[in-house]
Amino acid sequence: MALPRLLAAPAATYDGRMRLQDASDEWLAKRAARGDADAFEQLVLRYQDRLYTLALRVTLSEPDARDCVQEGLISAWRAIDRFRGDARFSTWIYRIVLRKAYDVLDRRKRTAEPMEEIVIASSDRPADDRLDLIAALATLEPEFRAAVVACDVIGMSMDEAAAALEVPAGTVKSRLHRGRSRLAAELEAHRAS
Amino acid sequence: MTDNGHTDHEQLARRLHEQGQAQAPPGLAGDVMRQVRAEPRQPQRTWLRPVALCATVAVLLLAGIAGLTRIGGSGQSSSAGSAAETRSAANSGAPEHSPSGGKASGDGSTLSPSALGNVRAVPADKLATLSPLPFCAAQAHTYALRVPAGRYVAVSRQLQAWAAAKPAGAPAYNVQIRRAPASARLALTCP
Repeated sequence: MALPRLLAAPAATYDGRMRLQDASDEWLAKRAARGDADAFEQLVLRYQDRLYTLALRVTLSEPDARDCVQEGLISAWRAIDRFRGDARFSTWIYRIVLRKAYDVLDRRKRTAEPMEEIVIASSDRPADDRLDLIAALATLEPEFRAAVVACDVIGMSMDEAAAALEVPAGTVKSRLHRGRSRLAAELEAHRAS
Repeated sequence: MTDNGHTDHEQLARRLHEQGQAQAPPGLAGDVMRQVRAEPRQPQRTWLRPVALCATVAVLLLAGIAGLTRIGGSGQSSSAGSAAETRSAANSGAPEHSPSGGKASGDGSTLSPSALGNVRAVPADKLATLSPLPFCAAQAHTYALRVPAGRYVAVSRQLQAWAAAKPAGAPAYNVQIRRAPASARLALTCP
């Protein structure tokens, strides 16, 4: 007896792995909220590099960045049923990890850990001009650095960065402009020397 | 930097995007997922919230309907009681009911549903012995007399007797007899 067309058709293309990889962030987040760890794993795989970049460029420390991402993702897993899909999942997870990164900066300010050592401690040592750029980025004050990293490095829109940084879009725009200006001046000074 | 500021910023943004990326350490996702799987979430019962909301609304509606029904029922029993009392008073022959069956008094004033009867031309001095006469601006020739249930027959008979014996030309008032709880005192009020 022939199966109905809908049931018989493309069973092979709908295995779980394919579906998770193709699914939207919000769909995966909903699944994760129902306890689906595989869906959450897909989100982790999808976002780990961007989150790590964000945390690394803000904290300027690989171990701290790793901790921020790890703690942020665990926090997200615990709180994912509170993600209601009003905002994008990316904004929500960026905000969580950014808060962890700011906590690191606050803790560092209290313990007065020298910034130079942290920058040098980074094993991120590629080509010279890249090093110049990363080193110049590290000289920016954290709020300007965070805006530059969010918009230019990660590629968030102004609104998304505003939501992730929890400041108005106008503030992001101003910080981004001033951050880029200082970065350009820093690079110029570096070249001149 | 020799280009204008806007171009500088665009170039800078491009360089930042190209060169600022970093890769997560190899074991990061594994570590996270190990911890995630170690603390499984309770599956969220998403259907429970709307069901609970519907149940709450249904309970509130039922309670409201039950409350309204009860109020309506007691209202009916109250009016039934009033009617029964009026009938019993009529059977005892005591009060003089208004010609319009208790709906309106002789001078055109409308009786309230709780009014049991209307006695006309009760002398003012006699009436004042029951209760002080209040000042009523609206209807100067009519008072309402609140009578406890147990004294209803006696009081209405007394009023009728006083009305019958009223001297000609003496000031008099119409009296609407109204029900009052058994524990209440006789009281003249404005109608």
